[in-house]
Formats: sequence, C-alpha cells, structure tokens
Amino acid sequence: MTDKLAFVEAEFVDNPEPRCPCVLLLDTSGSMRGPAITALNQGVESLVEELNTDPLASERIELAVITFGGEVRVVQDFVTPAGFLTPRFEADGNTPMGRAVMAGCQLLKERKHAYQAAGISYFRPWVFLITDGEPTDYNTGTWHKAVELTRAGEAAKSFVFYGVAVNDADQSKLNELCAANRPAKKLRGLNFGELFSWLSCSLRSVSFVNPGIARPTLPPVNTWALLEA
Amino acid sequence: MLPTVYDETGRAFRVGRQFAHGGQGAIFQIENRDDLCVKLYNQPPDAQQAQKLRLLQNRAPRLANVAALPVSSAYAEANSTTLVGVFFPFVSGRAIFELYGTRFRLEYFQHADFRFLIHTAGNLADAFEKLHQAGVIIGDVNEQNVRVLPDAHVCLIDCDSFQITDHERTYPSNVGTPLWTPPELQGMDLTGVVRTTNHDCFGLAQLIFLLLFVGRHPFAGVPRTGPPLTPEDAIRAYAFAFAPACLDGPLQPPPGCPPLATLPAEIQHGFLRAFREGSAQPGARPTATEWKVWLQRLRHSLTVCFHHPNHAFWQGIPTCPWCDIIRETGLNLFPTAAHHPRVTGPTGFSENTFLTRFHNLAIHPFHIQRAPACAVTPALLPARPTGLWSALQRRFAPARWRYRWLGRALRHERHAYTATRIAVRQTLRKQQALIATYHEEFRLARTALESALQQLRQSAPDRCELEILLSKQSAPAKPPAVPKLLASTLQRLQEEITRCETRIQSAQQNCTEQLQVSQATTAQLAWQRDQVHANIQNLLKHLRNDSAG
Repeated sequence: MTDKLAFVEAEFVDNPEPRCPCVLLLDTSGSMRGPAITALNQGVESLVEELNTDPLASERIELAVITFGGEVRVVQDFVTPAGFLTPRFEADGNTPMGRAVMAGCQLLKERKHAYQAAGISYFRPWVFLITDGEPTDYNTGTWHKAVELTRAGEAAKSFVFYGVAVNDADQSKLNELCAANRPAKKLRGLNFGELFSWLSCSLRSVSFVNPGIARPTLPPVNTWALLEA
Repeated sequence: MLPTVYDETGRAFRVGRQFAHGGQGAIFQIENRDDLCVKLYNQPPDAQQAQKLRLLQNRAPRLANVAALPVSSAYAEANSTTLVGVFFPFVSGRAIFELYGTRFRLEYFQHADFRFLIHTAGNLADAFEKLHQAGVIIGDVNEQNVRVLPDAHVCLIDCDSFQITDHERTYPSNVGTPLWTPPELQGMDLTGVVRTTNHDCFGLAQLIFLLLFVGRHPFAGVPRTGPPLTPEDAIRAYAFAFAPACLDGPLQPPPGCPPLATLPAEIQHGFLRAFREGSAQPGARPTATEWKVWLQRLRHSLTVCFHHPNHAFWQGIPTCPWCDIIRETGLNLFPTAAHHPRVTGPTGFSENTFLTRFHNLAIHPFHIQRAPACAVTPALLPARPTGLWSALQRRFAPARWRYRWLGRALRHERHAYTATRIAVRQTLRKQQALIATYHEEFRLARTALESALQQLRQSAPDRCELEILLSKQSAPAKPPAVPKLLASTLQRLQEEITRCETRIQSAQQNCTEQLQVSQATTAQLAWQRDQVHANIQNLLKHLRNDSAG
C-alpha cells in the first residue's frame, strides 16, 4: 500500500484521457440458471468487444463488475476494455442486492479518489444493475442504506443509476433504488445482446459526446426494453 | 444505403464499406478507390448547406494539403439535382489522439519522440493558419477530426461542418464538442452561432497542449481545494491546471507529467493567454501564426538526454523531464525503439547546445524520508476488573476473566506488531529501490563524463569527434573539414566538466548520507518493532503468572 502512495499509478501516466467509469451489478443468483446466465455471459463479452472496436472509447471507458449470487463478489475492478478479462458467471445462491449496491458505490468512491489524486477528470459514472429476482435482503438495514446511497448519489449527480428487470423480477422493489425520473426498465425476453449493445453506444456517446448537441442524447431503449403498458 | 452514387459529371461510383458515422450521416468507402470516400446524409441537405458545400468545394484545390474539403456533390441518380451526399478525399494516417496517447503512439508511431510531437504541432498550426487565411473557420475542432500522417503531416477531416463566409453571408458550423468548446461558448446551443478565429484558437491551443504534454488535458488537474470539476466545468471556470501556483487557480498540475516550465517562456505565456481569464476577448488567444513561429523555434532548441537517446527536450532546462517522469512513475513515455533512427537536428550542434548538454549532466538529488517517529511506550498493565461480578467470574471462569482483563491490550499490541513489521519491510524495500535507481543514474552520468573527459585529454580533440561521441552517432560517410575546437570553447568545456565533477562528488556524498539515513530509519523502525514485541511478552507473562497464581 505504501508503495502505491509513493508512485503515481502508471495507468494514468500513459493514458491520461478523461475516464467514464461504469459498474455492472449483475444478479447471478440461482434463478438465473439456464439460458439467462448464458445470455448474460455472451452479453458482457459482446459489450467488451464492441467497446474495444472504438479506439477513443477504449481509452476512456472503465468497467467494473460485481456479481451477487449467494455472496457479493468484485469480479473485476475498474479497468479499460483492453485489460478486461471476460469472466464466466455461474448462477447460484440467493440475491443480496442491497449489499451489492453498497459494494458498487464503495468501489466507485475509491475509483473517484484515485482519479482525483492522479488529476484525471471523469464523466458522470454509471451504475448498471441487472436482476431477475427480488432482493433477499429486502427491508433489512443494508437495503435501506443501499436505497439511501443510490437516491443520494442520483440527487448529488455523483452517478447515474440504471435498473434492469429480467423475467419476473420484482420491479417495484427495484424501483426503490432508482431515481423517480429514471425508473427500472424491463428487459424484453433475454435480449441481453441488445441491452449491452445499447450500453456500449450510450457509454461511448457520454464519453466523448456527439458533435452538435450540448448534452448527449442516449439511443432509444426500445431495442431491448418492454415499454410500460 | 445506396449501392451506387454519381458525381457532378455523372460518373458512377460503387459504395463500399461504412467506416464512420456522425450526427448527420455516415461515411463510406468507394470500391476500388483508395483516394476517395463519400458521406451520405441522413436528411438531404437544405439549400444553405448545399451552397456551403459548393463554397468549400471551390476552396478545395488551394487547401488540399491541410484539409479534406469536398471534391464533388453526390447524387442518387445520374443527372439528378437532389443532393444525397458529398465526396471527400480519403485521408489515411491516424487520428491525432493516436499520436499523443502513449499506448497508441507505441503501436502506430513507434519512432515518434518529442521532436516528432513538436513537428506535428507545428504542422497543425500551419494548417490552421492556411484555413484562417482562406476565410474558413473549423468550428468543431476535436481529437477525431485531425489526422496525422506517418511523416507528421496534418490533415483535417469532416470538413462539411466548417464555417465559411461569402459575400458577407456566413454559413455557420452549428456543431461542437463540449470537451473542445471554449469557455465563452460552453453549454450554448451552437446552432447558428457565428464562430471566430479566436474560438478556433482555443481548440488549436488544446491540441498543441495535448501533443507537448503527451496526452495531458490542460483542464484536468488535482483540485487545490473544493470539489473535483467535470471537464466542462473546468473549461467554463478557466481552470487551466498547469498555470503557476501564484495564479491560484482551482486546479494544480497532476502528478507524473512535465511542468509548464519545461517549455520556453513564450510558449508558457501562449498557453496562459489561450486558457486563462481574458482569453475570451476577441483576438486574445495566440494565433496559428504565432504558434507556428514558437514551435519552430522550440524545434531548433532541443537537446537529447544522456541516458535515453530517445528523450528530446528543450535545452533551456537543467534535467530531462522524461527521466523525471520515469523516476516518479517508473514509466518511460518515449522508450527507445530497437531500430530507432537517430535524432538529427536540422541545424546540427552549436557550441552552446554542446555545452548545455554538459550542463544537463546534473544528477538527480535524492532524498530518503525518515519513517514517522512514533513513540512506543511499554504497555501498562490494565487495571484489574473489580466488583462482585468480576470476582465471581475470576473464581468460576478464570479464562474468561483473564481475557476481559488483558485481551484488549494484547490484541492492540499484536496489531501494532504486525503493522511495524510490515512498515520495516516496506520501508527497507522502498529505500533499497531508491538507492538502486540512483546508483544506476549515477553510473550513467559517470560513464558519459568519463568518455568526454578522455576525449578531451587526447592530443587534438576536434569538435566533430566529440559530437559523434556525445550523440552516439555513427561517423558520417564523408568526414567534413572539421574546425578545431576554439581555445575559448575548449576552456569553457573544461570548466563545465570540472563543475560536473564537483556535482558528481557532492552527489556521491549525498548518497553516503542518504544511506546512513536509510540505515537509521530502518534501525529505528526495528527498535519500535522489538519494543512492541517486548510489550507482548510482558503481557503474556502476566497472563501466565495470574493463571499460575
């Protein structure tokens, strides 16, 4: 640890581009077993592939992955797509969603400190949660704290929180985490491919912002999301 | 997508693969043509846009070297008048961020050193100068619209968004990129906004900065006080992170990059004029012509580092900034490529650059930090718990009771012990690494000096030989008629060498002193560790005694 403080992180010296961090909080609980987890694996793989095809985006976007299935695991700390080793997720255990959200926020906070110390500017981070169940830590202290964290983070504009519900996930509980103006979306079938393709496009447009518009407009979500009735 | 498009003369072209897309359309290759591409619009351009494209096309022949201006309109059918797109010359090379970004540079421009970056910056200023002289404003300057060719030539692309004025009528650019928009236009809807050369010069200064500071953004720094700024907010606040500390901006320079003072004063001032308050005044930012002159001057006043032949830097500073970064971060931004062509200056060496190089033979002063002194006091025996409950517990559950009495103190001491043991190990390792790096540097400096001294001692040293030796160049094919070193130069050289020797001596002394500091620090830490260990033994003894009693 002491060594880390003494030396400047090399990753910020040979690549001082502004960063756009994104945390993926992925549900790998038992209910994801079968085609869902396969589709998720392929989706993450295609996300990394797509980001790698864009040279500027591959320098700016940083991904981190936290899974929650039985336990909460940081599968991948923040890294640019080139250094991202696609993990294989396996479905098992319950759904400690609140704990995962807290771990994600913590990881993000540490990353922001690293950016600030290295003098690297960053775009507003994204927290992207995908789940197919209902939180097993619902209505515990952890859950309340997680809700508080995401609401406060959204209000202070310190990150953007996206919730995606798969199959029969409990959307109303998921919505407690989301900001009122950005409710959770429901994934159409197992369209993880389209979902991650949308995520890749959105992150790219956020990370350098399309010419001609003052604020990035994200691509439409109708390729993967079910529209509310 | 159309399979075939037609140019103004009715010639048909087969549309190939799409290779880029923007807000207004997508760009496609033309089959069997590597010099041409076509941009097809999502929406057919209106009359104003069509007129603008025609005006730009008229300027194309004059500006072909610096910008890929449209060469013809594109139609869906021969002899049609409905514009669907526009033909551009195809520009090879790489986007400019693939030159200043170190990871890409090592892949696509392996031979590019600092001199190459300055050269590119000069060509960029030249391109801006030519466009501005032709009455064209770029508007949307950004890191993806500038292409750099392997010979450092620069060509702007995506030119249909340029702003052009004709007969007092201005056809605005309408587009921009937040990271590249000057403070006075930040957050504005740019549709219909008439841009000025001063706006363009903001983007130009940013690109030059990125090149000279190897990818560092001028507005990204460490917050002095207060919250971190987003890139756009920093631009809006004129928070140029590399401004001198006395100007008291909200940001200070990030670690691990060269300071602004590694460049000549005129360039430093240029950046301050481009990025600080007051730059929004019309004509306040340095023009492309000014940059061109400064960069040219800088290119002719470079010197090469003794340790890394790939490190070029301005001769006005005492030490190599790229070596400083290696020391600070362990990373070499300009590693020597195996087949790196020798850096040859357009003017060769003057006596002064020659002397400067000796002058640069400064040895990095190094300094070992003492470990923070923390007093270790002998652990006091905590007071024995008293009271009825305690007495009972002591009687019937003595182990529990002892744990209540001493457990906390023991735990605390054990933590302290682990922490100091780690500290001793890490401090030692760090100090050893520092001393090793320093010794390596020291050795290199010594070697360089010794070889120069030896050369000087030989009977008739001539300048050419010395130059060859110092620049490690191969001998020229035809030995030129070499002037002998002038007596005065020789004397100055000898003086400089003496000074170098003194510096090396004092460096050696410093090294000895630092070694002592290192030993003292480690010894002190080890003592602390032993003290804590003794504390633990003491506590344990009490525990044993008590259980025995």
